[in-house]
Amino acid sequence: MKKVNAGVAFLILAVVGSSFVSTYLEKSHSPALEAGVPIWSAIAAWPSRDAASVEAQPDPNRRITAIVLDDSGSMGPDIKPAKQAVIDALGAMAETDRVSVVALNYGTVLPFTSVEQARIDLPQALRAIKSDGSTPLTAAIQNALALLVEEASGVRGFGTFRLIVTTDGVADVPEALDQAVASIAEMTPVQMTTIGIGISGDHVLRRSDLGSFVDVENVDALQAALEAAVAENTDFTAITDFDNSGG
Amino acid sequence: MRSFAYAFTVAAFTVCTAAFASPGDRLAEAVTDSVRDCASGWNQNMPLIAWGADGVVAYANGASLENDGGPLGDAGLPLNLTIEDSFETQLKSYLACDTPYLRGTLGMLAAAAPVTEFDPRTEQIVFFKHSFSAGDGIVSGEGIAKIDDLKGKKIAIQANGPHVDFVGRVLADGGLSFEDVEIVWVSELTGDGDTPSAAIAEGRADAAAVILPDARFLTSGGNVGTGAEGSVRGATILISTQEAASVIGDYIAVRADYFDANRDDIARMVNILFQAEEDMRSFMAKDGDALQTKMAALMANEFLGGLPTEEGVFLWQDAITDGWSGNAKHFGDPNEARRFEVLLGEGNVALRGADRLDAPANLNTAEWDYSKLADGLKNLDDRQIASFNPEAAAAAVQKLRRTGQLDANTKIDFEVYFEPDSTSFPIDLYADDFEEILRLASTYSGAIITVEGHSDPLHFLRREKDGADNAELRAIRTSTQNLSLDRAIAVVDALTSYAKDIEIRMNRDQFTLDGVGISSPRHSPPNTEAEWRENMRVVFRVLTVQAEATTFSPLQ
Repeated sequence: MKKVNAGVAFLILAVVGSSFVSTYLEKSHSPALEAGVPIWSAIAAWPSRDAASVEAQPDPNRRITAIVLDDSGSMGPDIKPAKQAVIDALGAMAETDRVSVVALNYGTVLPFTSVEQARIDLPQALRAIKSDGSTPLTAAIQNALALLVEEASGVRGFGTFRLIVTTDGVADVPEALDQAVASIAEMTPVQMTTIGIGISGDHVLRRSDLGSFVDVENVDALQAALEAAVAENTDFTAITDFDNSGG
Repeated sequence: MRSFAYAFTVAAFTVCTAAFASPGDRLAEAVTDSVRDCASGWNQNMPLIAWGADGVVAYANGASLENDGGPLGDAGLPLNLTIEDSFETQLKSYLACDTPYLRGTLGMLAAAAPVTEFDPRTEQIVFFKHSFSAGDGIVSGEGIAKIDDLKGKKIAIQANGPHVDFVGRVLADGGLSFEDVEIVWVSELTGDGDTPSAAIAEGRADAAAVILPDARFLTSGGNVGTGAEGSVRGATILISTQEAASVIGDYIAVRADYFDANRDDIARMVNILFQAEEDMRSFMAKDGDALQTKMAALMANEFLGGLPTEEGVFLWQDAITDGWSGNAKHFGDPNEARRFEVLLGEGNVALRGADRLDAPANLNTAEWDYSKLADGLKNLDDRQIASFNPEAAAAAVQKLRRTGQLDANTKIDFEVYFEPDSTSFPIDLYADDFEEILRLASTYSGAIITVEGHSDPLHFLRREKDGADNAELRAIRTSTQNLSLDRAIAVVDALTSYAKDIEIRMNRDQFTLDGVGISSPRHSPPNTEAEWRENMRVVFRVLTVQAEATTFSPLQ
């Protein structure tokens, strides 16, 4: 995994030619590199796909969220609170934000639309979702990410991109899930939040360096988890001892 | 494609200087003829140059150079039109009143002031503006990617030609003056001989002011010169009037004594020219139209010496004609950013800087009441202006940034500074700067202007140093990215309001909004409060490259 990441990072750095090349080249080749460490040049280049036409003035305050709903058989009766959590999640968004919902087995439940429209359409759409089948969690996350890339391409990456995963954390191939989640943190600005159903311990979806986590019993905490970060200090205090700087 | 026509065309302004004087001589040294009185009555002789907008006069004259009826003939104002691309020859005829008219760019008319303004009879009255040019450019050699890279370099310019004020304007907007460069004066504009193209090709100059067909030739089709087939290895088009689309204006001036004696007739002629421009603008945009074919053929034959008809169309497209509304604004609207006084002032600065004038030229205008010159016109809308596809422009800018070409294509920077973690900035402090941006936007009306927001990285760096986890750092980065775009939006919103308040026309689509977050801080880390604040900025950049053909529609 480390080797693959380093190769991808090198390729992107060569293309982007950012001022941080040397810094991140060194960083990405570091033997101490851990999975999930941001490769800033790759993040800056996301989404890598060029759209022929883009929004001339995208709304930088818009939040664009893809929600992954676990509808696998392992969810059992937990599918009901999981579906409610997805609906509740819309309450933490503004009407002009955009949202899409993907289920592991069902596929796309709701294509990207405004939150205002989703509040109308989603309850009906979720009725068809049942707990059944396998747990292709990784594939569902990657599908949701692809939808985010498409959205981001049209707005030149401006806005806040989020991936909310409502799941019990069971995956067909746990190692693949680890890699996928780490890769998102390394290569994209997508902020991942998990609404966990019985997930505990050192599960990858609980790692605070990769994203945020709220328990399905406490979905109210989602609002806080989705707050935008402060961009700049409002007062100046010099820091003189810097190592590598990011951005 | 239009190169051949245009090249032949403007082989134009060229010609004579070499026969009468050395390159670099001023007009007053090259033209020393005495002044003669004009005969009474209507003088039918008028010079044209091989320029698309001059087709308007020929069309008004019955689609003919000769006195052949048409609206002018029907009005009792027939003309005998002569293609005269030597400005010195024109000037001699003007002094002798073989013709009472001078046809040139404003810079050329101003350069003639020492010859014309010493005698009240020959004082110039500038009474008609044909067009702005979209067919000239500056080609630079390898290693010159921005205007300020020209510092200390040699620039080849045709003496007494149309490019002196163009070069002066571009140098000034790049923070330079003629004192920062060395001018290599040449006698010809294009073709064989002592041309700017020859000067750069032979290594006598590092850059050259040329017509666009020559520019494309030197740069292997408008890219980077390969050194093959007459191109100059490494040469690129530094800037052109397709971007600086309101810089080189073409005019007709008339002798003061003739104007005083024939003012009403000249006013009627101007009205007819406005009608002709309106008609031509319409039918020249319709491929296959019979009138388009007729006028294109006339221009191809008479102006260009017998080139294919399509070259006449291309010649027309190199000119952005003004018509009634353009003239009314240019000569009569004090809020018009590119009004006559402004261009004359710029021309004077350039000509004096280039040592072509000792004192500013003070040219008079006809001071028409344009409301009385609108008879028969169907459309009094604004002069055609560049139109942009803002979505395609934004995509093109994004592509340039990703491929590392944005800085190389950026020629003129301008900055606005902000309060921390905010999109607020003291608008009142930026009134002068906003006016300068609006001036740049109108001067470079064919260029995309990027408005690029930046954020300060100190908070990110501090949290990184404090050991914040990577999820937080990524979230901060996203916030800085979005803040930077928000800043760009705030500045353009303020600029739009400012332009509206002072009644200056602004094409918002010309501004492409961008945000780069903390990827290009001026100071990283900022070590003082001043450095910290300097990171919170918005940068205006005039892109002198047309990123995509779909991005910009400069003409009809």
